[in-house]
Formats: sequence, structure tokens, C-alpha cells
Amino acid sequence: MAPLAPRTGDAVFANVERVNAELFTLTYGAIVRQLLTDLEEVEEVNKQLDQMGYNIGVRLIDEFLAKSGVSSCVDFRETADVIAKVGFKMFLGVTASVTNWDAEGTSCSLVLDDNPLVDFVELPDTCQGLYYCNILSGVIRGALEMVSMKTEVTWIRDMLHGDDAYELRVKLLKQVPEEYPYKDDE
Amino acid sequence: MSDGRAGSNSGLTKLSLAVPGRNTARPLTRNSSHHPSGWKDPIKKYRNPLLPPSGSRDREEGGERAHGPAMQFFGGSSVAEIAPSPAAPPGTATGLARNNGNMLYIFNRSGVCLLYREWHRPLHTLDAQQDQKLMFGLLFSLRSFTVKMDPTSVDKGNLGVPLLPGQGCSFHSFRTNTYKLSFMECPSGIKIILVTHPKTGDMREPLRYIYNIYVEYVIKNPLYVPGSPIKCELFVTNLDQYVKTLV
Repeated sequence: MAPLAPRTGDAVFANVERVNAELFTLTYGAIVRQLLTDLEEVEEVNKQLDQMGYNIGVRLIDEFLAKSGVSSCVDFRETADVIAKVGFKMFLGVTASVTNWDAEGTSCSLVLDDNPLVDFVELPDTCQGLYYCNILSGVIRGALEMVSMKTEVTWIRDMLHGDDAYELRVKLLKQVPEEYPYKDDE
Repeated sequence: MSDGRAGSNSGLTKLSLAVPGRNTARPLTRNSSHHPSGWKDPIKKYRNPLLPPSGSRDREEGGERAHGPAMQFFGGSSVAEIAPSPAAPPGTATGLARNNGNMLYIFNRSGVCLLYREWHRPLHTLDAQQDQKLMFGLLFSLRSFTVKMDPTSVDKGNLGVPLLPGQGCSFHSFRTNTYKLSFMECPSGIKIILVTHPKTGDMREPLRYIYNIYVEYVIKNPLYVPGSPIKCELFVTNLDQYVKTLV
């Protein structure tokens, strides 16, 4: 069985290849800029970013599982913990905190104090509805879908809109166990 | 020379396989009277997918010898035709007599066979599609079974209830007298199956390493569509190289 999940992502972060933070930030900025030019509608851009994030998440999950060696999480609480401590650390270099659990334990908030995607960014007046980091919500949704959890991820607080931190609300819709894929008579 | 191996194949036909050529006539007369020529013995299918590689250079010949009765049984169709799987070019190569890895399958959670590699498989009994479906079904059911029979779990669910990938105990390998099958399943649903010779030790670390190679060369390849059969050359080359080093 895989070794116990590291409670922090520091060890894993030290082992993965890293890229220059400014290059990463500027590249992401260029992508958003280009999407705004091509699509012009802020809602469309939000959707595209989410879709891009979803495609990333679907692949990211395998890399995450391989590099960090976490075994399966028993429940959603542990999942959220692992995402915040190990996942964010491994890929973005920052840790998030998990807060605001609801009564059933199916919904929580991930709070990011520091976000490398938004260094140097200010939103102009024409783009006030833009969720600049929407790619992150897509990534989390895509990755969790590959481990049989259907989720819904939305932004609650966004520093570019004037709040004091970044807060993502992650809500577990349902867990989808695997079915035998072949029909019985084949 | 092959007396050691004779014992391993002696379940159904109690022939001594030491003398090449001589035994091929006997099973024809002995068994064909009991069974129609097209009958496939399901047990044989599992027992003889490969020979234990003894590092002998005349592996082909040894294959003929030890499987002489089996080949006659199946109408001689097996070794002659290698059915290449649609997913990957056939990996049967000469000079791999010392290679421990015999076959490898990679499946995703929907049962699509992403990769099938073979390095040493003298006997093919099914066509590639059937073979892969059978393998997937086998492991899917085995996993359900092992989870339900776990004496340490408190889950009271029924057999056949679909499982989440990480739920319950994990099944690692099974061993027969001719091969060992090692299995690894990741929470994302990727299943890696490696068939090797029966004296192989614990394969969990090598399987993890193969998963890492998969991530590096397949997942990170932007031109690869997740869920489709793998056609990445780099991955296949690295995989072959790694499997050659397995003891």
C-alpha cells in the first residue's frame, strides 16, 4: 500500500521540478489577456478558464497521486485537507487553509492568503465581473471528478475585487463509484 | 533438460515432456477422443499463458516442447499466429529470453485498455479484445470479492455494490505455478497489471515506478487524449527499458 500521506506538501514540493514564478504569472496573465481579446465577454472568459482548468485537473490528478503517494482519502474532510496542504503546496507553492465546514461535512472553504497567479494584476473597470483565477476552480473540479467525486467549486472572495483573501467554496455533490463497464452479454 | 518444467504442466496430461517430438502424437489420440477439436479448456487458458523463462537460448524450441500437447489441443493455432493488440505494436522480440516481464496491461476506470505490451507469451488463446476484456473483468470481480471477504472491515454492503477506487482493502497479486500477476490500482482509476514469472518478489515498487513513467510521458503529453489507447513512443521505449531491468 502506498505510504501514509504526508501531512504537509513540503517534502513533495522540494522534490518536484520548479519553474520561475514570474514566468508562470506572466504566462497565465498572457492567457487571460488573449482570452479577453478573443472572446470579449467576461462571462465567456470565465467559462473558458473553468474549462481549461477542468482539462488540466483531469491530467493533474495522476501526477499528484504519483508524486505525492497519498492513498485514498476516507472522507471528504480528508480530501479537502490533502488538497489544501499537499496539492496547493506541490503545484503552486502556497498552502491553503480549510474553513467553514457545513453541518453534513460536504462543503468547505479553501482560503488562500497568497496567490502566485495574481502578482502584478489589477482589474480594469471593463472587466469587473472577471474571475481571474477561475482556472483554479476548474482544476479542482476536474481532479476530483477523476477520483469519483462530483463537486461544484465557486469563488466567494477575490482580492482583485477588493476582498482580503481568496476563498473558494468546494461543495461535494455526490460520489460516483465505478460500475462494471461492459454489458453482460458481450 | 526440461524435467523441472514437466512437473509444472502435468495437471491435465500426465506426460513426461522430456523428449521432444515424441509426445506430440499421444495427446492427439488420447484427448481428441474425449473432446471436439474446437474445445478450449478454460483452465489451460490460465495455466499456460507463458513459460517460466529459464534463460535458455532455445526458448522457442522449449516452447514447442512444453506446449506440444497444448498446441495440438487447440488445433495448433496458438504460437504460430501472434495477434497484435490494437493498442500497441506487439512486443515479442528475440533476445529477450532473460526478460522477466512477460505481459503488461494498463486500463483506465472505464475498462478501456490503454496499453497492452507483451514480451514473452508463447500461447495466445483469445483475440486481443476478448483477452483484455477478460483481464479487466477478472480484476474487477476479484477486487469486489476481496473487499467483501475482508475479515477486518466493518462494511456490511452486499457483493456487487460498485466500489469507490480507494474503498476497502487493496489486492496486490496472485501467483500460480507458472506465473505471477501483480496489480496496482490508483485512486484515479488507472489499473496496472504485470505478469511475470512465479518466483518474482513484491512488485509494488516497480508498479509505482511504471505509474510514474506513465505520468511523465503520457499524462504530460498534450497531444494525448486521456482515455484513449496510448501511442506515445517515448513511453513505450522507457517502459521496455525499465521492464528489462526487473529481476
